[in-house]
Parts: sequence; structure tokens; C-alpha cells
Amino acid sequence: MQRLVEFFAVPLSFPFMVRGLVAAALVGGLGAVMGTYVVLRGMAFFGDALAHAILPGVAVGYLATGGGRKSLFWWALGTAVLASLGIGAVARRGRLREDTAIGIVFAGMFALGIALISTVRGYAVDLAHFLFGNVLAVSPHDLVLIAAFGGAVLLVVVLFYKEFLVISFDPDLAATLRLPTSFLRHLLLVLIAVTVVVSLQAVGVALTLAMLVTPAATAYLLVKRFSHMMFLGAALGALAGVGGIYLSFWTGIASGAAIVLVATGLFLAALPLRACLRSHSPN
Amino acid sequence: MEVERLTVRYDGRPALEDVSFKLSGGERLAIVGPNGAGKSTLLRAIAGVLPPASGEVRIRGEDPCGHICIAYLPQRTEIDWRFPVTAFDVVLMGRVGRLGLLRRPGAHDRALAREALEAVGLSHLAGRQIGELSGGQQQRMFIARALAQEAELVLLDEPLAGLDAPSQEAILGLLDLLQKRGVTLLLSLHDLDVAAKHFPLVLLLNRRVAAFGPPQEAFTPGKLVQAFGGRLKALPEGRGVVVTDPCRTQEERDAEAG
Repeated sequence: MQRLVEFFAVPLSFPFMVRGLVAAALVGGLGAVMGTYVVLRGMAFFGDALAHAILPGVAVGYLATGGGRKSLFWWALGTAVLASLGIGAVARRGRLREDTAIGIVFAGMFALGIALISTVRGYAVDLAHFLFGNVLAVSPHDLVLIAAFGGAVLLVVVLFYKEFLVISFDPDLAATLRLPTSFLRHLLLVLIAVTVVVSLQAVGVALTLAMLVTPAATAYLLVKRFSHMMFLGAALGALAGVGGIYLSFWTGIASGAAIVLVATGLFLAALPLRACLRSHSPN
Repeated sequence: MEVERLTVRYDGRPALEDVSFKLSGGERLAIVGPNGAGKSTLLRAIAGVLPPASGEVRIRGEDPCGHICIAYLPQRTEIDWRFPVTAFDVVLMGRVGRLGLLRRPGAHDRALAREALEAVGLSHLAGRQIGELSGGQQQRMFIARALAQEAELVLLDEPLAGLDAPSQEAILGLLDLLQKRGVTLLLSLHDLDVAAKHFPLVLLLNRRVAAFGPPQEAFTPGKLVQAFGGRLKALPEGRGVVVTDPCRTQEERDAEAG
């Protein structure tokens, strides 16, 4: 019992750990809420590409401020919003299939980001920070930004809940109901972009996809209503965030990787559980 | 409603050319034609989902995009049946257009959705995830959604495809119910027999209108061949016309034209 209390209490005596836990829980929860749309609309590749495409924006900010980190959030946000809207244009007009077009544009932008960062001497540490995140380095200022933007995304989701549901399930119905489908689709892209930026600090460019996809997919296996998927996914995402931080603290592995590993573990645990639920359902 | 010289393009190729016809309120029309004839395209253009390249669709004299009383029921294959929504959720979606932005469905909307499910005989399955419904139940759920939407014009894309005979009968029964409520019905079918038996008006389509009118006038061998080409194998029961030889059909087409 004593050991169990210590397991949970010891990390809490470090302020950076408390901030990390709060940030990871927020990012995990928010990621799953938007991840519900990503999973159901088949946008996993878009989310991943978007995360990678942010890198050149971050790099420019990094160079402009001489290696500083304070304004990087805003650089990332600006790039993400532009990239998410740009993708609509690229995807719809080109001759190539949508996924091919996304792949070309975003791999190119990712390379540009690495190229820009590599012009700075001793860039490896900072590059690793961008790629894999470092949630334990979250400052109080970062935490405020995460909470503010995460809250804004959730507010918009609440306001447009039924419209987002209809355009995700049946776009033709949305059109015949005369909903502003194009506006809603772009708004959803922007919300995903903001979510990706908020997640960057925690899990970095390379693993942001996991926060969008894994907890939401886990919830998808277990429930059969949209709102339940969102709530359960958010709970699982927050749990993965908190669990990952503890795992990282006690084993010394990288925090971003630990969060994603816990999320993946939860997913794997849900697979047999789903089989169980299936065999007990009326069908 | 009125369709006038409608042309719709898909990826630069015309999917529909110069389609014109008129329909009065409360009528029902079956659109029949081979695969790729543009049946879905025509329905989607009338729904205001696809923009026409030229020509126009007028519903009560106005552009369809101004109406929220048009329901378009997609082919079942177009829908992701693993999507986490229940039958009730889907029917309630029909209310979203009437609510406007930022408003949540209220007691009135829920009551309408329940009534609609009741009308199609699915009340007991309201809480089922949509993938757990049979094909016929899925189609009835969509009809309930059109009822909840309070649609005056209902467009159904292949509502009978892939259904067994009893399910088809159930759907046709519901179409009668819709019509009794004054709803105008347009649906695409690939079964000439069903079209001839259940519809006073048919439109034979193969990118262009091959024929439009009562089935006994529209389903003549010449016009059928014009729509179906050499692929035509069977004709409506009791008509006793089977076209197997594409060469002869060409002659018939010439005879028809001359």
C-alpha cells in the first residue's frame, strides 16, 4: 500500500511533473475528441502529414528567434492552419489521387523543415525535441496555451456537434439539408490542425498521429454511439497521457514514446474486450 | 418539379445529356436504365447535391438548393455501416436542417423521429447500431429519416437493390404510405418488372432520355434497346420480347428513327 501511494505521490512533488501530467491529460483528451472525426472520416494520413508539414514553420520560427522556443507555438499554429486549408485545394484540383498529393507536399515540407533546422549549429537536441516532444519541459505559459486552445477547439465541437456528425456520416444528407458543407469541412480541418499543434509539445511531430488515432480507435471498438466514442476516447487519451508520464518517470524512457506506448497497450487490451462484448450482444 | 435540358459532367465527361421531363406534386416516377446510365447522377442533381453543367432543375419554380424539403436516400453501398450511430440517431439527423446552427434537437424533434421510426415499423430497433440492421431495415430507416425531415420530394437511389422479395414488398408498401401523405417520389430501379408493376410513370435513361411516360408506352422493344443496347436480355413479364441479337436491335433502332 505504502509503495502504491509512493508510486503515485512521488512524481507529484516535482512541479514540472505536475505540469507534464496536466498537459499530457489535456492533449490526450483533446486528441481523442478530434480523433473521433479523424478515425471515422478516414483522415489518419491527413493528420500525420499535417503534423510533419508544420516542421518548416516551426523551423522558421526557431531560426528567426535565434533558437528560442517561446514563439514556436504561434509559428506552428500559423503553419498548421495554412497547411490544413492548402490541402483542400491540392487534393481537389490535382490529377493525382488525394493521398499521393498529400504525400508529396507534406514529405517535401518535412524535408524543408529539417533542412532549415540543420543550418543551426548543434541542432540535434532541438530537432529531437520537435520530432518527439518533451512534455516534461512544458512551461506554465505553454500550459496556458494548451488549455486555452484546447478549450476553444472543444467549444467549437460542442457548438457544431450535430453538423459535424451529419457531414461525417452522410455528406449528401448535409448537402440536401442545405448545411454550409464547405465551411464545416474546412472548420473541421482547422480544428484538427490546432489539435495537432497543441499535441506537438507532448509527443512531437512523429507521434502526434497516435494521439489522434489510437485512443479514438480504441473507443470505436467498444461503443456504438458517436458521443460515447468521443467521451470514452477522451478518457482513454487522458489516461494514456497520465499513464505515460508515470511510465516515463519510473522507467526513464522518453515521455512522448511512453504516452504512445500506453495508448497502444490500451488499444491491444480492447481487442479481446470487444470480442467479449460482441458475444454478449443480442445479435 | 421540372427538369429542363439538364447536362451534368463528371470529370469532364458528360454523365447526363439534355435530360428534360416534368412531374406534378404527389406523383411517383421510376428511373430505369443500365449501370452507368446516370440514374444516381440525375437524382443527385435534382437533390441539388451535384451542380448542373447546363440546363436546370426547378422545384416549385425554384432552384433545388433553396429547398430543405428534398430528401435524398443514398444507395446502401454508399454508407459506412460501421459508423457508431443508432437507427434513432440517423433518423434524428433528418431534423438538423430545420434546427439551424447552434440549436440542439428538442422534444418535438425527438417525437417526430420516434413517430417516423414507428411508421416504418422499426421502433423496436431504434437503439440498434446501424450495422446490426438487415438491408431492408436499413432502407426503412432511411425512409424514416425522410419522414422526419418532412420531405415533400423524396429521391431514392436503388432502394430495392440487394433486398429479398419480402423486404422489397415492405419498401414498396412504405412508398405507398409516403405517396398518401402527398410526397412526390423519384427512384432509380434496375428491375423493369417492378417498375412496370408499381409505377404509373417511368423514365428510361441512358445518359439521355430514351423514353418518358407510362410503362406500356415507354417499355417498347425499340426504346428499351435504345436504353440498354445489346446488353438487354429480359423484358417485363407478359411482354414476350427478348432481344438477343445486337444486329437486329440496330435495325430496330433505325426503324424507330425512320
